[in-house]
Amino acid sequence: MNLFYSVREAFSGFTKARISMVITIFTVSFFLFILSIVAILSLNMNRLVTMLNANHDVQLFLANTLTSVEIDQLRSDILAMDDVVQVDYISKEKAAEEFKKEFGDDIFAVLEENPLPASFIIKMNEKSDMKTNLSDFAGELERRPEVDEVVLHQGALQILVKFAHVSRVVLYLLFTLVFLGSLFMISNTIRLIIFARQQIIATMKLVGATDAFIRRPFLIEGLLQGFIGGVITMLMIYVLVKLFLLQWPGLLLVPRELYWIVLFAGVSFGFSASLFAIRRFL
Amino acid sequence: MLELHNVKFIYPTGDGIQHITFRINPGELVFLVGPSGAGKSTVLKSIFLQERPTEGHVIVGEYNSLFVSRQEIPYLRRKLGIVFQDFKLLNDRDVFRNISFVLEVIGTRSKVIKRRVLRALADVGLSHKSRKYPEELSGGEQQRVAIARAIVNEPYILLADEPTGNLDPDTAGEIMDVLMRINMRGTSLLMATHNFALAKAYNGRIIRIEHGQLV
Repeated sequence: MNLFYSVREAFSGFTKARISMVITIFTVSFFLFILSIVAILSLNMNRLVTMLNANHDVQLFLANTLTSVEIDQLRSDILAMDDVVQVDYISKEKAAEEFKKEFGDDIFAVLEENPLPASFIIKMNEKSDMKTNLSDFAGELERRPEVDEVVLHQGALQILVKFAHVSRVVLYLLFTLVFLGSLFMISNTIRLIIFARQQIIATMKLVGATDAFIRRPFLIEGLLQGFIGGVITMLMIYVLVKLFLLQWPGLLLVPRELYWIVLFAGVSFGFSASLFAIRRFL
Repeated sequence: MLELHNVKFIYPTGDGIQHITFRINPGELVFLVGPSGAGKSTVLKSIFLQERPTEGHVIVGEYNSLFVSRQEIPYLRRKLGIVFQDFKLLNDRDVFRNISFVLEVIGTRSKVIKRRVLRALADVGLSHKSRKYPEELSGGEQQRVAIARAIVNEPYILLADEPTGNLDPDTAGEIMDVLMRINMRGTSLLMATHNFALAKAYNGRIIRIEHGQLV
């Protein structure tokens, strides 16, 4: 095995077919950039959903006729349900106080009796998946006779979360499509480069070069192209994220690992696309 | 050393070779003579297994075509030196690298490579052109580089497929001189040519082939 030869051939391939190299590196960067954007969006969508899930709660209004025993029983039933972490009881009196705080008027000044029902504020844990089972959760509670009404506080946010769910699926699909597409494109570009060097490959075979020996410089070349493509994408993402955060501070979270993943993806892209492309010629 | 036993290979077009049997002894000079399309190149290709015989077998040193796996073919080819009519030089590298890569293929150390390449270049009289690119050389010089590439690995046998076919008579004579010198030093030479007069001018064995069969 002559690794030095392979590395030298790989670098000389770089200088001999400059335009093809630039095209391949550009293709790698372009697809990596799209994949990174998709990943960043997906990541931040998850973050938003997690944030919303952490904050959301459900208010449950109780029927007026309940005794304190029934209220306690209902409270422990709810606490036993999945994803429920806390159940706070808001009595009719407390509800009246909060009404006063909110509206500035004492409800008893207007009405003779307190019309506000007692309620529970139910806090869900972070894992509770608002997008799918919160309405089921509310429906289940609403069917109970002790319950008058269930209000999901973040109706508007829920729509957002639902949207997040849909867009996450779209993003994953897009990610897969772009990934496969880019592998195909890069492989084809590299195939063109190899095609131009068919004569070299044929001659090498005639003088007794093994397939592995012939393959090695092309793989190293693919690896280098992927590496350079990865570095360019890293820089592009870094600048773009910086500019975005200057405009909208704190709205985007890009973990440092993403940059390494981009680089690794570039190298893997280049290597596997070369491997895929050269198989045709050996 | 080199033996062909009842070798047959037929292309999808129906052309090909059959019943080819001969042996080449160490240091022997053999001309494979026949008109164009007689099957000379196919015989050579069946020796270095570019075309694998469908019947019969070829023995090159310790390799027998019946038992050689696809992975072993490169190792069989390293026992041979091959010279083509169209030279098959790599235009993207200079003369030195055109020859040295044969040794790099088999993992020879760089010091040894340098010594052996310079020796091969001296054998073909091109020491002064080692940094030239193939396109900067004449046809005769290119063929000499191809011969240097074929002998640098000290092969059992040199296979030459119409090595003078693309050259004018004077240059062809020079190339023949180079090949004869190599043969005189003990390397077997099997040369395919359509030129019967050329073959007769040298003191070698002549094998005639017509319509894919020895005559």
